[in-house]
Amino acid sequence: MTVKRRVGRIVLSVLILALGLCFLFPLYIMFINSVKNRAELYMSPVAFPRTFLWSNYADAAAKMSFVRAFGNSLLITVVSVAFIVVFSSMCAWMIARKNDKLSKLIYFTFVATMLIPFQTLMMPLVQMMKWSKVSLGIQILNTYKGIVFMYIGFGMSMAVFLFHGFVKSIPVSLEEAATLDGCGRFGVFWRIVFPMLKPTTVTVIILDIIWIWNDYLLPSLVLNNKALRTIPLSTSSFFGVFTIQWNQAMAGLTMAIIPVIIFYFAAQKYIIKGVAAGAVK
Amino acid sequence: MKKIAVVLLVALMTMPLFASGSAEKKADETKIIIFQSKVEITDSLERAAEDFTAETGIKVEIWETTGDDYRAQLRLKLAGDEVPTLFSVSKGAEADMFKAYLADIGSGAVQQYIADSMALKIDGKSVGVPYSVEGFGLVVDDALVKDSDLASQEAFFNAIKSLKGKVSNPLGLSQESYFLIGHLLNTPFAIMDDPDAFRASYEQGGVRLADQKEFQAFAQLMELIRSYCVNPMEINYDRSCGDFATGKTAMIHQGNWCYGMFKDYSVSFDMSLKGVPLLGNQKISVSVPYYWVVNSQVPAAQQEAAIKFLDWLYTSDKGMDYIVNQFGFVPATSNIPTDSLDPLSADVAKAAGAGNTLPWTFNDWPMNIIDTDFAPITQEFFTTPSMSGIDFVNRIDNAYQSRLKK
Amino acid sequence: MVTNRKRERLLFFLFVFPALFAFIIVVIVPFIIGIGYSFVEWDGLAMNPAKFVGLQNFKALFSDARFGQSALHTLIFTVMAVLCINVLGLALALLVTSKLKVNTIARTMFFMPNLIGGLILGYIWKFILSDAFKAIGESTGLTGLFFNWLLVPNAALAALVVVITWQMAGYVMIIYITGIQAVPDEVMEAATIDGAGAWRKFFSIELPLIMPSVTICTFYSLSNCFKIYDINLSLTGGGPGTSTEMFAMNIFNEIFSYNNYGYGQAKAIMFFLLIAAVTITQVAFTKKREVQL
Repeated sequence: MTVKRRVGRIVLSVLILALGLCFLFPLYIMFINSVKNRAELYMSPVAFPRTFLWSNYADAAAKMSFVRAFGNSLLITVVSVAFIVVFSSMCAWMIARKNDKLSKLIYFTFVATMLIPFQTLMMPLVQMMKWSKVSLGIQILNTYKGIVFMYIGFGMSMAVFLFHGFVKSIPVSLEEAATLDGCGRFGVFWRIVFPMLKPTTVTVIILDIIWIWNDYLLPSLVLNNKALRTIPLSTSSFFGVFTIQWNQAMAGLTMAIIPVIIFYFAAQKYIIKGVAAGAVK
Repeated sequence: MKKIAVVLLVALMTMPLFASGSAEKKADETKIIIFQSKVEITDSLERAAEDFTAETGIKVEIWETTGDDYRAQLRLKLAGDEVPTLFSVSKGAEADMFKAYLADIGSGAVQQYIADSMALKIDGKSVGVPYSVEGFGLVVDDALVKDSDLASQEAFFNAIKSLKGKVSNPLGLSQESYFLIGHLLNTPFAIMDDPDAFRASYEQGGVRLADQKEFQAFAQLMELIRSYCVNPMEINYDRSCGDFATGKTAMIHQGNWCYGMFKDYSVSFDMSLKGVPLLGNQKISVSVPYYWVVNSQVPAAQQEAAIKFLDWLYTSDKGMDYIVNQFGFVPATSNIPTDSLDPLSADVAKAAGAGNTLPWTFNDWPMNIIDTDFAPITQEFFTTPSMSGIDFVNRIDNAYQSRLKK
Repeated sequence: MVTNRKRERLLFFLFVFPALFAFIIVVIVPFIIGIGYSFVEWDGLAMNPAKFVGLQNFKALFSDARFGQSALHTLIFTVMAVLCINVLGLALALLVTSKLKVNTIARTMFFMPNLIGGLILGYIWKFILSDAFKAIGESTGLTGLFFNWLLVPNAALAALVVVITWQMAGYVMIIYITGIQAVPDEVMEAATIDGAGAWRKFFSIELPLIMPSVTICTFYSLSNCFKIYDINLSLTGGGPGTSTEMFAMNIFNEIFSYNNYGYGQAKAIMFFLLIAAVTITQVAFTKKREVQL
């Protein structure tokens, strides 16, 4: 590598890092303000904190019932994402391969519904929950299975859309070869296709985890009981009509996103491994 | 094989969901659900609820939401299969809309302590218990603003001009809809000789706000604020209170609720709550902001339990202690003592006691018009120097009239 | 042969059904119910009656100036945002898949913004663009750039574009990375050997091969920008005035503040048809350019 190239690379690396830091600026603000007291927050919002009020974190955690909320968020997110990945990949593969009129219609419906704004579904959803309880005896409101079921429904569109796009990159010849070898359809899917969809699977998992973990609207409809609240719901207690307890809110929010960051770091390695394996083919 | 195993594992993991924990099943009959809107009192309210359950055995579940969202959430919650037993509404347009849900609670013990002017009645039946009394007007820094500065409209307008040299902000509004325009706009309506009669004839049509001397004075005030004071769009509630507490702002248009905002600052001056001297007015605007109401669509047993809760909260020693000391409310019922109030709340209580107050007219305006129309128009006013005060009043007028037609 | 066909059908059903079941119940059915509501006049309370008004809500749509304006704002915003998001996202993806050592860290840094939910993001940026910018402007004197953006209609709209680009660029970057990494090295190497320059390599070879990613990302960012609500609410609240009031906010206000549930639903249907038309066109356009390997 020539010196010029080397310098070029270093310059580029520095630029990228600088850009990355800019990206993180708001996170920095969030963190430094989470340890200030109210008066200091008012006086110098951008400055580095003079005193570190770590008690804000304890206060926020207590107010949010953090541990409980964390547990709820974790359970709901993991289970929902698992189901979404399994169901949507199966569906996407089948309709991508079949490609007849029905399949196209199904695909089209999935895609089209990604455009529906959630606000317009809120009232009918609540009414459906009521109808389900009253006529079918199935309670959806205030239950884990209720909200997981809803997330599965809402998560289908995007997941099917993503999987469908990448199923194309898997040569049909591979599937045909497996069938010739005596593999049933299920086998073909799980043993050949699904592993090759790994990069997409990881993408779907990451995107869905972030969506569900940070989601406020759906839990606000379905989970009224305090014991079932997820993290976004529990941070709402800092946001009054006119006054926002900024310092505690920031502490609460920092705590809320740390798990996601950790998860993302862990998943990163997996992405690289998965993609490298795919490339070696 | 591995994949199938994973799928099975996940399926098994979810079995507990179907078994459902105790948090999910509700078999209790006498349980009340309170859906309340004031984020500030949540913790105290939960403690109060625990005390109540300890004394009476009735379970209480509290739902809450972010303040902004309350109105929307309330409607959604009432459509669900588990509905709140106790919630809150404001008098006027909102109470009318929720009429079908308001149970007759005239049998409650607390009703006897509610003055007629404070009561919420539909078709002659009492349906609400007033939360508290709140008042707003000018929260003034006594060290910077003398009584003589507020004695007349002229003195007031002059004071704004002359204070400009001494402090960064003579009169502070802030960007939130009610603090920007909602409360301030109450004054011209409320100082009319007969506010209700005026509103009736105004809504009939043919009356223009800009022709009224109250509104002409108001227009002048708005122009003064725009010229001499810091643009309210740049200040939020937090900052507004902070600026006031640190002496940068001489007066803010606020209410007794903001006193709690000052406790983090070491305030070195006395403060009081005064009326806005448009046309020489000296009264502050006082009213009951919200009423507790009982959902008439729940089983009778639950309604009874809810009434019991309200009675306990407003008439028992423990309950009253919560209201005054924990929630920081100015009591609206005559049975609760009012000695331990902060200076602003004391001003409110005094004015209320003497009947020396302006009514709150905005509860009778078309629903939510402050957020949907008045606030945006005011924002435009503050960012468009060419809009005159009278233009502004006309815009408000038009918005109000067009909402009436809907 | 008949049993085979039946088996095929059964398999099709088995694979597709679980996904469809939840989806139909949770999305399709409420949507259809919602359509039903667009024909009534109702304030949203179960106990208050709903009046059937036929197509009146839809007729009113066309004379609603504020709705038309929010449509315009949304359009301008979406076009600018989709461009920024995709250009930045693709650029970042390219940067991060080149063989620099800082890649992993950089990738994480770019993706982090996406971890914060919309509402909070809006609040933080609101603070940055108003208070922080003002302070910086005063201390550096660069008031041309550092003023309170949220007080000027055009700047407020630009602010929305900045914030959503900041949030979504990392998101689409991930999808682009997946696409870029699917391009076999041999193809790129062959091109270099053939003497193709960097730009040529990108536009003639890499871009067509990552078209599936482009389709997905453009579609995704288009639909997200059209539906924007959280950030809109917390960053500008629709202001100053109504200059940044977008579709979703207009509809939400109609339903919950103006209490016109039916009319709000009618708006939502119209809104949906509009986006559907736009995005279908987009998907058809980009899908045509996808190249199979």
